[in-house]
Amino acid sequence: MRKRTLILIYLILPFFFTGCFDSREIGDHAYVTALGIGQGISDTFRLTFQISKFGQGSGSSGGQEGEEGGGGGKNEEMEVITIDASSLLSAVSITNSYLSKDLNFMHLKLIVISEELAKNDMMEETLAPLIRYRHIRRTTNVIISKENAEEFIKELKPYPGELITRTLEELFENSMKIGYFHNSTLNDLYCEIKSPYHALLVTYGSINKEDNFKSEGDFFEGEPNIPGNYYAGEVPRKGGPKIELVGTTVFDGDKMVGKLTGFETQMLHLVRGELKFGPFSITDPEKPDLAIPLDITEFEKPVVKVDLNGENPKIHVKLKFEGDIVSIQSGIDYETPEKLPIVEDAFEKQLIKGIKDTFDKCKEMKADVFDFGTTAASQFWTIPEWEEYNWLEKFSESELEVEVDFTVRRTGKLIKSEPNFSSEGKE
Amino acid sequence: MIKEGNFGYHEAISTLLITIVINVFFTSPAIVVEIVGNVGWYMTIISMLTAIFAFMFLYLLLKRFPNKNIMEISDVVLGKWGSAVFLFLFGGFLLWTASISIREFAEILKIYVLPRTPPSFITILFLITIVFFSYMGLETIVRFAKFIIYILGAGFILVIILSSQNFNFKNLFPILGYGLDNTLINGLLRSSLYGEIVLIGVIASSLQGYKEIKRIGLSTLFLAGLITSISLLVFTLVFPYTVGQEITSPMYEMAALINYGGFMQRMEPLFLFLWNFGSFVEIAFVFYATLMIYCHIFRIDDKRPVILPMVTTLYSLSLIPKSITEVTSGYVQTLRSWGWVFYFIPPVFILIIAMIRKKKGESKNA
Repeated sequence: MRKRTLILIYLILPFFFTGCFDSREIGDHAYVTALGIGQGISDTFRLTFQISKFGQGSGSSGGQEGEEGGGGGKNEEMEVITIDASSLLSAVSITNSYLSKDLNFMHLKLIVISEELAKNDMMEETLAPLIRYRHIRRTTNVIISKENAEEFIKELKPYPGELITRTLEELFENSMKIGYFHNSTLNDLYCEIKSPYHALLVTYGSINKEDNFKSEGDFFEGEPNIPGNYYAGEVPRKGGPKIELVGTTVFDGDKMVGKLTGFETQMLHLVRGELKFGPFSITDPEKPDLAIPLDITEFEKPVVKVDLNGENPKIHVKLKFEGDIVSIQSGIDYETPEKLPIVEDAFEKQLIKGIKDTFDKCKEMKADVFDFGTTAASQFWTIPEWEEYNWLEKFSESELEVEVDFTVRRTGKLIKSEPNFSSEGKE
Repeated sequence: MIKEGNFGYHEAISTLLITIVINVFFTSPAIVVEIVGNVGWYMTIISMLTAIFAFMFLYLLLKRFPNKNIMEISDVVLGKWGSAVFLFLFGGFLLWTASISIREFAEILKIYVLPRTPPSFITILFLITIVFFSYMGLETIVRFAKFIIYILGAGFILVIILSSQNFNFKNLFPILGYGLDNTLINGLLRSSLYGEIVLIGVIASSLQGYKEIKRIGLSTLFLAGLITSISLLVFTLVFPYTVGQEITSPMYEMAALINYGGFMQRMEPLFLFLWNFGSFVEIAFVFYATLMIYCHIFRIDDKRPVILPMVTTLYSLSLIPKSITEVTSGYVQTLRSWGWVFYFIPPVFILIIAMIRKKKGESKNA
C-alpha cells in the first residue's frame, strides 16, 4: 500500500511543475498601455503601441530636475512604436521580431482611433478583432482622436508622479463629474455599434496646440461663452497636459457622422441621466456681459415618453434639477425670494435651448444619441416588430418637447449681496 | 468495493443543483439569446415547469417501486434483456453528455485562461479529479457538493451584485423577444437543461424513500429554475440581445466587466473558481451515474476496475468534436433541444409498461 502511494505521488508530482513549460515572469512582457489605430500607408492599419515600464521610479519623470514640468516633459519610462500591418496580431508578431519582450495588452487602458479611420466606415473592421482578442479587456476606454493616433499617443503622458494607467483612469472618471465628454469603453462601443436602440458615441480627444490661446489682442467683451462649448483641441488654454478630452463623436452605424461639443455632450448626458451633478453657467439676466456659475444636481431621474401613434414620433422629456449659486459676478441680489426665480428661469431656458439645439443637430446626423430608442422599444411586443420599425431611421423625423424644472436650493457662502461703496456713493 | 452509502436531502439537492445550473456558465446563454432574444430569463421558467411535469412521472414510477432505483425498476418492468438495452442506451447518453461538458469546459478554459495549454492536458487533469471522485464513491461526491455549494452560492451572488453597475433594464424590451409562440416552443424543448434531474432515479436507493425524492426533485428544480432565470436575466441586463448571442462565455465576460475603480476590477478569477468546482461536481456525478448504470447492466459489484476504462472512453468521446463551433452549435444545441427525449421519455415509457404489465414494487410496510 505504501509502495503504491509513493508511486502515485511520484506520478502526480510532475503535474505541479507544468507551469515551468511556458512560464512567463512579469518582467518578460512589454506592457502596452495605449494602442493607436489609424489608416496605414504600407498596409491596412497603422498601429501605435505605447509601452510603459512599470517599475521603481516609473511615472515620476515629469517633475524631475532639469526637465519640463507638468507631465509634458521628457518621459524616459515610455516607448512608442508605430507599425503598419494588416491586423493587430500581425503587428504584434512583427514587433516581437525586434523587441525582446513579449507585447502584452493585459494593462491596456486606452485605444485611440484616428478620426479619419472612423469617418471611413471602418469602425466595425477595427473593433471586431479587438473584442475577440483575448488580452484586451472590454473595459478599455476608447477615444477618437482628431489627429492621427500616433501623434496623439506620443503626447499621452502621465500626471507627474503617477503611472499612466492611473492618469487615464482618473481622466475618464472626470466624465461623470463634468460631462464634457462621453466615457466610452470597448464594450459600450461594441454593444452600441450593433444596437437598434441608439447611436454609437465615442469620446473625442485631441492635442491642444495652444492655437486658440491668444496672447495679444483686445480684451474680451460681450456675453460670456458657454462653458465647454468647444471641441477637443480648441480650448483656449496654455500649459498642462497636451491632450484633452472635450466633446463626443457621433456615429451612424459604424461611420462617424459628426461630433458634439463639450456643452452639447453635457446636454445629452443630462437627458440620459448620466450626469448626476455638474458645473454650469448662465448669462446674468440683468447684466448679460457677466455670468452666474451654478452647481447643479439631478433631483429626479429624467422622465422620457415617446409617442409613436402619430406620423412622426413625439418625444417628451421632463428633467428636474436643484442647485447652488456658486457666485454672482454682477453682485446683483439674486438671493432674494423675488429674484431667485429669474436665475431659475434663465437656467431652465438655457437647458431647453441647449437640449433642443443638440437634438436638432443629431437629427441631421440621423443619430439618436439620447437613447430615446430604448424607451420607444418598450412599446413594441416583439423584436421583429421593433426591428422592422427601424427607430434609427424614424428618429430623424421625430419631434422633441423638453420640460425643465430647476430650483435654487442654496446660494453659497453668502446669503445676500449688498452693493459696493465708492466715492460716488452706493453703486 | 465502493459503497454508495446513504445521504440526505441537502446533499442530494446540492449535487443535482450544481449539476443542472453549471450549464448556464458555459455557452448555453448565448444560444438561448440567439433563439429567443432577450426573454431567456422567463423562457427557462417554462422549461423548469415542463421539467417538473416530466419529473412527476419519474416520481410516480419511483413511488410505485419503493426503495428501488431506476435500474432495478427497469429490470422488473422490461425484463433482463429489455432493461439491458434501455440502460445501455441511457448510460451511453449520459457518458456522451459528460464528454460534451468536459470538451466545452476545456475549450472555454483554453480560450479565456490557458491559451497555450493543450486541451488534452486540461482534460486529463480534469479527468484525474473525476477518477479520484469515482474511487471515493457517490457519498464523497455528494458530500463535497454540499460543502462547496455554499462557497459557490456566495461567489455567484457576489458576481451578480457586483455586475449591477452594468445593468440596463431597458435591454428587457421588447418584452416578448422573438414572439411568445417561439418562447413557448423553445421553453418546452429546452426543458432538457433540467434533464439531469432524472439522475435522482439512479441514486434513488441512497435516498430516504419516495416522499423525500419528491421533495428533493421539486426543490432542486425550483431552485435550479430560479438560479438559471436570475443568471439569464442578469446576462440580458448586461448585454443587449444583439451582442449577447455572440459571446462564447457570457457569464465570464460579465464578471470581467466588473470595474469599481483601481481596487475592484478583474473579478473573473472569482468566476473561474465557480466554474471549475461546479464542473468537477457536475461531471463527476454524471460520470458516476453512468458507472452505476454500467455496473448494474453487467452485474459488476466492484466498480473500481471499470473506472479507468470508462474514463478513457469519456476522454476519447470528448475528443470527437473538431472545434468549439461543433461543440456549441452542434452538440450542445442538440443536447439542449432534444435531450428531453432521453431524459424524460424513458420514465414515462417504463411507467406505462409497468401499469400495463401490472408490475409493482413491494410496499414498505408489507
